[in-house]
Amino acid sequence: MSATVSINQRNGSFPGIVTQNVSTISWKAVDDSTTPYTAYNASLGLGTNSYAVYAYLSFNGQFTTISNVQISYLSGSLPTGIKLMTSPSITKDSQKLYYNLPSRLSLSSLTPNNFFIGQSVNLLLGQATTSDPGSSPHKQVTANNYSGSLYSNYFVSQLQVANNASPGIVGPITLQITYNEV
Amino acid sequence: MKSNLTYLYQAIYNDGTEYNQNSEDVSINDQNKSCFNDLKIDEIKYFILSNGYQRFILDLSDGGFSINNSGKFYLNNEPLSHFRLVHYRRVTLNLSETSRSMTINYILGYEAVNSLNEVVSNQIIIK
Repeated sequence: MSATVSINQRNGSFPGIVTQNVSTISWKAVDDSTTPYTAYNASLGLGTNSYAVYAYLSFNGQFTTISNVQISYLSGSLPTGIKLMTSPSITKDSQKLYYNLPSRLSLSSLTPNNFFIGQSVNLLLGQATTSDPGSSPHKQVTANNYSGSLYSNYFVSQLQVANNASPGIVGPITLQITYNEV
Repeated sequence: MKSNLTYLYQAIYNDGTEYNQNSEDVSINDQNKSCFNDLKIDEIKYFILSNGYQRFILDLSDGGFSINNSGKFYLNNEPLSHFRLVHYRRVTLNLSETSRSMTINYILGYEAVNSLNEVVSNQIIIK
């Protein structure tokens, strides 16, 4: 009965731990999907970054085509001195990011995208040809050219805290996933 | 998160036979696909989206739309031919810390060819 979409997150050294169908994405100083962002050891200090978060979407159920997948920053402002950086839009398979051990180093090596309200990132879809579906081949699925579940490439994101940022809890922000289904 | 369908479609083919999307949206020919997989796209004359109250009808012989059996209206202002159905659902999922919500817009329209052999696309969005 139509597609079911889930957000999945991978943490740790490859193959790492995949948490399927996470309810939220938290950016913090711990590389896992379970520690609350409010935990003392999860807090981000001035001039530091969160661990990069590697998330991907999965589509299961009955569908003929899923296409035009986007993740957008819908609402919830970030205070001065705090930026959400993400991987850029992917328009062809060769641009996708492979999974790497999440790091707190700046995402600058990934030609990051400063993600703010109204901005969207395009994702491509593919089948899981390896145990790492986010790194499997991806393309725009516009024809009946696959069978089974589909997975997006990785959407990599990181919160970056400048030295002049104000202390406190940031967010929450609302992300939006959109796709065409038939 | 899974969507529930408010509008279901009916395709009426050139030979007068019909195909009705089932409420589970599961293909008759392939249980892993949706009903769209069953459609004979090039043989559709009318494509109808209905929620039981509203009916949006697309005539693929001339690109005319009608709503609840009204007179047809057209989105093109030039002669077109070779109409081909465009239909999909634009699904939007909002993710906040405390809630998830899903909305579905139904896209109904066509691609066709003008006198310069250019592809022209027109759609309506049904919310």
